[in-house]
Amino acid sequence: MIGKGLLKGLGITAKHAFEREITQQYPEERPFLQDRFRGSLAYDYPKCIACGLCIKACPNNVLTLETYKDEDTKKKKVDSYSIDLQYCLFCNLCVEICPTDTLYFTHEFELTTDNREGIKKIYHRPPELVPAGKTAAEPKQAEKTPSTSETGDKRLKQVEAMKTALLKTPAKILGKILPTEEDVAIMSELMQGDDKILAKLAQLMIEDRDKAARVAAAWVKKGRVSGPPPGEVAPVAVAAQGRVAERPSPGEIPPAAASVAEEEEGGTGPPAPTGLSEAEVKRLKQVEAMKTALLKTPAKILAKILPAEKDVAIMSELMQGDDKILAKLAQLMIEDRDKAARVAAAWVAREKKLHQGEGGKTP
Amino acid sequence: MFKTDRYIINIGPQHPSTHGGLHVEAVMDGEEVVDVMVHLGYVHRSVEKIAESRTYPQFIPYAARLDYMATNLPAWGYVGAVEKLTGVAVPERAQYIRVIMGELSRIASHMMFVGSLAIDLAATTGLLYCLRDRERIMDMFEMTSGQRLLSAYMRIGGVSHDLPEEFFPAIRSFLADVPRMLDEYNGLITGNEILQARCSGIGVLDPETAIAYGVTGPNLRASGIGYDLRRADLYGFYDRFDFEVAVAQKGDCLARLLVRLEEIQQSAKIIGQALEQMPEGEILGKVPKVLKPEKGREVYHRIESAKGELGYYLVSDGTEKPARLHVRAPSFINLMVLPVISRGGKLQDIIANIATLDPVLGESDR
Amino acid sequence: MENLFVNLARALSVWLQHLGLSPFGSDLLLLVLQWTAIILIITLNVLILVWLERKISGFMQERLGPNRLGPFGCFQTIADTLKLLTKEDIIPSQTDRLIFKTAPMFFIIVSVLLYAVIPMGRDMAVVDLNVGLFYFISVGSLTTIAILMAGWASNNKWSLLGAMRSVAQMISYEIPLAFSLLGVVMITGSLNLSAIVAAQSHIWFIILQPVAFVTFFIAATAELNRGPFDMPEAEQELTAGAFTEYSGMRWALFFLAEYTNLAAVSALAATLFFGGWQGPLLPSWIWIIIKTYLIMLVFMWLKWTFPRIRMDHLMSLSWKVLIPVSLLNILVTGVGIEIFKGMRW
Repeated sequence: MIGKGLLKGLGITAKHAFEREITQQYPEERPFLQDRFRGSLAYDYPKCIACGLCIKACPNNVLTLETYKDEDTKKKKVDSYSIDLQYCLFCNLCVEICPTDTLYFTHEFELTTDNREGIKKIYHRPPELVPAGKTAAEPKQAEKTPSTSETGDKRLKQVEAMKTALLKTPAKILGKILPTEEDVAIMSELMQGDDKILAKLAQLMIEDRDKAARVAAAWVKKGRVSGPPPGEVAPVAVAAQGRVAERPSPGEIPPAAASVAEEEEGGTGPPAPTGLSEAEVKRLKQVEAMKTALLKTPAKILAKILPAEKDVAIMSELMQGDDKILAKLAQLMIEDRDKAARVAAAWVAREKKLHQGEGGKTP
Repeated sequence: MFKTDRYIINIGPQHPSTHGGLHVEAVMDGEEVVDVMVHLGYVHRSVEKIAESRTYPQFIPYAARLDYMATNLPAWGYVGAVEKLTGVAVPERAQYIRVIMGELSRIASHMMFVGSLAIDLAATTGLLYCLRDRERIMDMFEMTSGQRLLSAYMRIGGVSHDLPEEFFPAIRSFLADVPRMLDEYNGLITGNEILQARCSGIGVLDPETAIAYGVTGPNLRASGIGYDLRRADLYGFYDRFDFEVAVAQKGDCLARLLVRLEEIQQSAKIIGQALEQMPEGEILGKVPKVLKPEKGREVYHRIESAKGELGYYLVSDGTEKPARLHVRAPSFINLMVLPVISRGGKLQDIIANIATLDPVLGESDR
Repeated sequence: MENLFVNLARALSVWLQHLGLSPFGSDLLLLVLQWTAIILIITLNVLILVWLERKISGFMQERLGPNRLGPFGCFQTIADTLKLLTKEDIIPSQTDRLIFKTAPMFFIIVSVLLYAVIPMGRDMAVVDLNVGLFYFISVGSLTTIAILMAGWASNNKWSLLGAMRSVAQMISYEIPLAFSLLGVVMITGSLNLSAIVAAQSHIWFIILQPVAFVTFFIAATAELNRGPFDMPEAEQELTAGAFTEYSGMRWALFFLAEYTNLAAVSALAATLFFGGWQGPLLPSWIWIIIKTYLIMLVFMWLKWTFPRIRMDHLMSLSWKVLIPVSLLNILVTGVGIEIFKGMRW
């Protein structure tokens, strides 16, 4: 009979109208992610042996590795490692090839940013590994292994020419990127005092004028506030790329959690060491108080940000073992409770993962 | 009598039912279609050229992006071609896993076909039911490879991960539910008289034309020719499974729909058998660290993808990157019959014809 | 409760005359008030309907539908309307501007006019015309002109095709629509909608005229341009058909008018076949609302289940099936009435 099919279809839709929905209300309900889910690509600094296999495996030139030679062991070590997630295919080839499980996929899937720079992840060598007093000499030893083979001689020559020009007529060139004469003066002083700054600036001037302007401005600001030895300032230049911009130095982050903290940190960082305003002093005091409280009653405070008791135990152990973690946590607790929760969860997760790794279970 | 003018109407490249950047230029006489021209290239990503600047393993994720509706099948075809080129052996278990994932991809693609046909004929709810069921396959892909849509799961010499434990209950329950799903599609979509009226006798592709144009896959089988590469040009243990090649006789839109529904059933049958036969063992064969095939070697490897014969022509120049890769994309060739089957029909038939030819523009434009 | 609105109107009229207005003046003012009320109710009703449609389609598709704004997402349409109101008013350069601008207004005016004759409760028709049904059908068919205006003025092939389909469809479906209503008229002997409602005090006409109801319902779906007969819009083929070039509030007016039509035709169906405002316990105006909404639910149910019919099938369905069937129904009804009379005597 004609119309039977129509009625059957109506029956099916009517039946489903009274069934429970199958959709997830996303921001409130979090999706269940499988173990192997490939979210954001992450990097674990201490494990990396700088072999460069991942870079060879990557189809899309997402990864960049910069290495230096360790003077004591004569081995290549990682200076900085960057993941340009905007080009990532999430194909797993780098993770599979990595001999030490340095690279891994997290379950973080909300990767959108509102600018291109924010999507790049950069991991730096922890400051403990930067030999003291040798920073100025280091760039000459630093060996670069860029992923692209395009850094030719031409570029180097240009940079050299720029360096000479910068030393000869600093005012003229710096005037292009710095707004006031005062800034130019400070910058030229800085630059003449430190070869590294000079080199970096020359390079940036060739590569990206805007960035050079930004970096120079940051240096000037820094130079004006405290006038620290130029060697310590230098990392800013490197850090100015990507999302870790304007972070004074990665020193506040415990090495074990370096990578995680980098991910979580965004643009903010601990306050500058000198020239503190009143509000900053007050906040420092609050942080100190929080630290004491954390050590006294860890369970009570941590319970506010961590869901499980087990996590709290792990975290309090971590915190007691490492002053830096404690400091960081206290600061975050004061500044941004949500972020503190996220960072703490990440620390705990990493700790758990490390222990699992020791247990011999292969991921 | 009235004098009527012919006019040209452009369907796409921005249009609700062209499945991507497809541009169909239709010469119309009122509501009747006089002629149709297909313009392609809006989704051209120069995949074949990219292959020349990537090493053999590096191209796998790109291959998976050719036919994103059935992502494991094009990737399987590609790794198969490289294995043929280099002589890498694939462990038995890996081959079975490939069959399972490939057939799951085929089911996913066909479900998408049924759903998109439904929504192209304005039965929106049908699409949602198909998507709901396809979601279970996507979950299984996520379990195994970590990625839902573009899983890049195939590797030269095997697959990237072994099947996890939770995969087996998931797939068993899925296979058990396949008949129920098909019942629902049949009740809501296939059995609907309006849809039958819009599909039967529409866009008839006779077997001679189909062969002349090189149409393959379900579209060819809908015209009464039981040509299936899983039987005709054996690969991946398909001789060990008991399944039937789905064939329909009429060659119209309804036949193309019925063939795919039948294929969902057959694929489910294959997966069931593969799960039983699958041995324990390695999932990745012995693959040299750097793949450098002999200079001047060339292979053509083809598989039965969800859309038809998907072939890869690979030429080696002795380096670790291919000298040339050509993809014989079934969607591209199948789309070429669109003018033939649309002429003389109505405007609305073009939509049904595009939907039932099931092109994936990522593959046809490459 | 029963006579709430009637008494309200009467009181208003008395009060206005008390203020010194002539009876004609007070009637005029009352009419203006009534129309304002109708327009308000229609707009509110459309807000509810759009929400309901999205909710129902969501439930059928195992989704939740709108659920962000307000309880069960019921403020979603209000937010959407605000968005549409604030959108830029784009008029393509090659259009016939005057007709392009008037088409949506014309459409909505025609749709609102339909409400003049529908009895929304006991003694609650705005104008109780003695040719009410005739008025309804003739005014209802004017909507085609609005769609044709929109399609023609847009100067776009999709629009024109949509408009032409709409015209063809309307012309074909007016006939079975009118024929299927003839059976009801024959039984009642009146074109007055209130009289038709009154005639159903014992038995609903759906029982006496089931075939007429089916043909009426199919023809009405086509008249309303609703799925599976949404030819003029035909999103999958014609992008948005006659309304392709419209955006912002102009487009929203078409939308508003379509839902207004939907409510009007459903109210007519309730009036003709389901006893109109008659019902036990509850006040009459609540009964008609309930019935109208139930019929609208069926319309929505159909739309979200069926694929779109093809244009030529649509035409042949009308000319080869609906018209003969409705003609046959007139014959059977006539014979039936005669037999009924004969049995009585």
